[in-house]
Amino acid sequence: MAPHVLLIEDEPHIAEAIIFLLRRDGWQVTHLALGAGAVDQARILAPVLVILDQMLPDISGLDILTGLRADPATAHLPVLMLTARGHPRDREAAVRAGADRFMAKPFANAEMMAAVRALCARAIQTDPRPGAA
Amino acid sequence: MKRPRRVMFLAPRPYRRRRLRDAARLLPVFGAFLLVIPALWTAPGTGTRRLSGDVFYFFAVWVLLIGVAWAFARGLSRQEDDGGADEAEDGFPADPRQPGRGIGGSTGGGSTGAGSGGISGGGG
Amino acid sequence: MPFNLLVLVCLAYVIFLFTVAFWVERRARAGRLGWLRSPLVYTLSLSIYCTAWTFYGAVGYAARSGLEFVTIYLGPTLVFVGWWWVLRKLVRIGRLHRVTSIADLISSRYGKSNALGVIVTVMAVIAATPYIALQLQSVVLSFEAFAAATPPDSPTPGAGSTAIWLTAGLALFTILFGTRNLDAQEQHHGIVTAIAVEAVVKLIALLAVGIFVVWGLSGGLSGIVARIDASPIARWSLDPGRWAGLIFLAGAAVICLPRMFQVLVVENGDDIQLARASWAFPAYLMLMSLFIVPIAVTGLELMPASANPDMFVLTLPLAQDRGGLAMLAFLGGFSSATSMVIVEAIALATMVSNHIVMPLWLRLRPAAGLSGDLRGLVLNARRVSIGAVLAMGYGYYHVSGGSAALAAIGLIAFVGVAQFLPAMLGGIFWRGATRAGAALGLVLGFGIWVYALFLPSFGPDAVLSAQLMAEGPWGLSWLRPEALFGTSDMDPLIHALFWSLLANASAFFITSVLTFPGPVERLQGAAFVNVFDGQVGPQRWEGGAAEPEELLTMAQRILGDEDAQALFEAAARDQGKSRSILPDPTPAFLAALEERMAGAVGAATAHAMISKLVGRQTVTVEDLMTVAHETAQVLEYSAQLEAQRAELARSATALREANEKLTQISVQKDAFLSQISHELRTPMTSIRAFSEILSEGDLPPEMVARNGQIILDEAKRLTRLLDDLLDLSVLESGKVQLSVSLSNLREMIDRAILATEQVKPEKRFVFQRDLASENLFIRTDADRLTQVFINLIANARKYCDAEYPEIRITVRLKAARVRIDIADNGSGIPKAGQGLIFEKFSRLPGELRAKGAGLGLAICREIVANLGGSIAYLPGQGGAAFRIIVPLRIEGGTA
Repeated sequence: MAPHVLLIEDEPHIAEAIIFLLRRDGWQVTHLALGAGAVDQARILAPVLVILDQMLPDISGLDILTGLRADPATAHLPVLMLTARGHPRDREAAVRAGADRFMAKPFANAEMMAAVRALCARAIQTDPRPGAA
Repeated sequence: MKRPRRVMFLAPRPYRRRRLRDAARLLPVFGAFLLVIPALWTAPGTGTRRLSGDVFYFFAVWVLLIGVAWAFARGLSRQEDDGGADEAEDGFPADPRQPGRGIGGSTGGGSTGAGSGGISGGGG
Repeated sequence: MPFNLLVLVCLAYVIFLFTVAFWVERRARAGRLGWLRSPLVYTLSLSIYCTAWTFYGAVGYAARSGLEFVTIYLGPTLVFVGWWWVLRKLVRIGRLHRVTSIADLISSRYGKSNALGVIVTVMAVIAATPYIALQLQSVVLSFEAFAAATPPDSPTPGAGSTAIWLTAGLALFTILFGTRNLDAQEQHHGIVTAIAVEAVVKLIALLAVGIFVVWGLSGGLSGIVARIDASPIARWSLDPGRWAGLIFLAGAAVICLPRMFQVLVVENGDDIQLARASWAFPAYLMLMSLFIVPIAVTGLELMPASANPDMFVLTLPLAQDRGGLAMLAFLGGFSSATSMVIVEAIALATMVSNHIVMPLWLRLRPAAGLSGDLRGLVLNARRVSIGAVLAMGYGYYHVSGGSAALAAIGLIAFVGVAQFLPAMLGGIFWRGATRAGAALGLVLGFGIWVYALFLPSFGPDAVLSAQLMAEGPWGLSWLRPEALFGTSDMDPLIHALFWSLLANASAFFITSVLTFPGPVERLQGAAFVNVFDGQVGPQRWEGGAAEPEELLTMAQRILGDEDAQALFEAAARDQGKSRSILPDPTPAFLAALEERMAGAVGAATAHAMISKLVGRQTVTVEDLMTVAHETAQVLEYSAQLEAQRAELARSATALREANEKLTQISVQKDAFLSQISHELRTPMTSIRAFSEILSEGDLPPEMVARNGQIILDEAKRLTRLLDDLLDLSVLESGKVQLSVSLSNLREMIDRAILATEQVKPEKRFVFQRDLASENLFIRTDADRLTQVFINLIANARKYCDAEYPEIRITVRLKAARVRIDIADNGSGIPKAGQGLIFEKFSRLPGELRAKGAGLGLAICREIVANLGGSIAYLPGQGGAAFRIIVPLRIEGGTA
């Protein structure tokens, strides 16, 4: 079974690009354009990685991250945070909320894929659940 | 309720005005008296009384009342013009705005804010 | 004198009156009243006191009872020369409280009690109906007098058809000019001026007949004196009781008659008018009565014994073959009758609609205060009431059929309306007067009037049986209608006047002393009695409980959009608010709003409508006590100190507002960089990602095409954003080059609508426009202004969430400024967002991210500012609405 990635991103073109890159690399991707219900989806899908946009139209990405970390079922999930705002403050906030990796837009495709692979590898190594690999 | 502060003695001009008002108040009483006097006269036909005489009397009283009222009205309206400074007790030229209410003037362009807290919208 | 000519002259005269009223209404609308508001017009309008009953009837009265007729004019003379006592106060109260009728005055004074309003209205209608019938009868009689002098072969209409045509014509005139608009002050300049004209006509007519009688028929002054002393009426005797009673009665009537109250108080403009009328109106009355006795004695001598003395004014010239003079006299009588009926109908219709129809309607449909067209309802209620009042007058005339009972009805109506006197005078001079006292006094006095005077006036066996009249009900002789408590020797009129007013005043006084007034009643009592003291009244409403937007919606339904918005805007400015037209619902503002609405629908209804939004009035007796104490202290401050305080409060509000805005702006400025970074990085991300993908090669051609398209789109988006930013910075710097030209507003709007068709094309929008008002040529930068329209209309298309979306565009030209309102019917912009929507990158809380960057409205604001105008969000329109104001002619620029 192909590893599963949950992508939460409201800009359709950016989402399209990321999905293309991930699928080409053999990942299975579920895409959400809104933040509502993202935490529940993460629990149900049990992805190996969550890619999260910091600025969503309805809920802030930081709030979703906090929600993920608060739920024991999703607390361990690696999270890659994307942001279009370049301010260092945004990075700090993301790290504080528990993001494993922070990436500013625009990004290089290779850099992005490298980050995804690194995070996944770490997750599969440390995943305590049986059959996760 | 009366104003807490009241002037005891007035300058000649306001004093004159005050007396003019007194006279204006008395005028109808005086007029009523003149108009009821004929009831005390002897019944017509018994003596020298003539209807034309009655007619002349009533119209003379009438003209007199109109004339005096005209003079009073001139005096009283003139006060209205130099109004603001008159601190008399019934304040004819007082601030035309409704006490305790806000906006005066037909366009609503008056001032708001006369509440019991004492914020009153500007002077008159 | 051919009868047809008479009808023709009559019609011409009526058309002339229509023209006068119409012309004045137009001037009034344009705000150019000038001399039309002069004391002269006011005084002349008061002359509706002299009805046809006076014009024709005074001579008859003199022929029957000698000089007694002058009492009818002497009473008002005393009241007017004594204006400093009562009239000045009444008129001041009427102006300050925007009183709409005598029923409104009494209802408002006694705690805005609608029950009292209803009592007074019903009484006034009952007393006035026969009076109106009397006017119709006098016109019919005068027509008949002419018909009798016409050769028998020419056609003359019957009395019935004359009366019906007359009633219909009067109803038409009154409805046309009496209910043109729902005025905030319930003034009718057109009608008042027409009535002033009629006053001149009737005075000239009576004087002309008098001069003809004295110098034409009696050989001058000495001749007439001889004739007077020789006439049968020289034997009249003055009955002291009746004499004094009638003077008093006429004096009471001149302030209590609904029509007199209308012209005296409601139509009053200032104290100067009253001061002038204080001598000029008595002079008018004196001139009207000057020739009454000569005409009466000459008529008695020259006319056959069977002639009706009531018609001498008309029949004397006719008998002497003076057709022209008779025509003038006829027009005088016609004027007297019509002006009385018109004003009476307006006064009564205002009372009926404000105190009976509106309260009933509001009770039957409690939600109606907030929806539906109330102005239309009020105006229609007035129109129907006018029709009903006149129909009742006609019905009464038709039933009583010109009987002798009508002739006496003038004085009988006087006694009926005199019942208002205790409640009215007590209300404005005595703070202890209570609602219960007023109601009991009114009902009791009116009951006695009906029983002892009104019903017996129809004659024995008409309503009351002859047996009851002679022996009293159930054989109780002390209850005989015309001899209550055994006072059988009194004159019936004075008898009824005495007993009804005695019972009325006693019940009023005793009940008032024994009962305790409610808080609103006490507030109103203090405000009325101390109207000249300029006292600070206690707060009536608890502020803050009402939504200003709801209040505005309600006010617009009563006062009309224009006036309501002006009122709110002025209040907001006074509170130091510059950004919003919505003032805070402070107690003072609520009181002002209530007062303004009271001018249109009466105090009781206005009060009820506001309490529907604000909740019950919260004043208690304890509040009154504390406030009274505070008030005494507050008055210690000098007026200057208070003014300074108000000024301080205003600047404090302005400062607070500025500070809030600064804080918000600094937060926004901070967010600005981060926003701009976001807006630029987002398209860049897509472009970079897809470019990298493309550069890797080996993609299927359709993927290449799609990716290329995405890159192109995002590049365009980036360009648009940069354009907007650049545009905005140029506009903000004020260095923008305007290309000013003369352009048609309608074309600009057309262009804007066309250009926005591609925004959400699946939504079918209905545009409501008034093309005629849009047809304006404005000297401005047409492209820039069109851009504003495009932005606003595009926003409406994007965000309007109504099922059947509409966009309403209204244009108004006012004082060289053009006002354009663009409103949709969606759910509007929440209050919290209204202050910030014009800021850069602002988005409403919870709004889904839109396609644009949030610069549209900011650009609009800058453009309009560059065009010398302003743009604001317009709340309370049932959707999102924007108001643009630009000058009609912009100065300078490159033309």
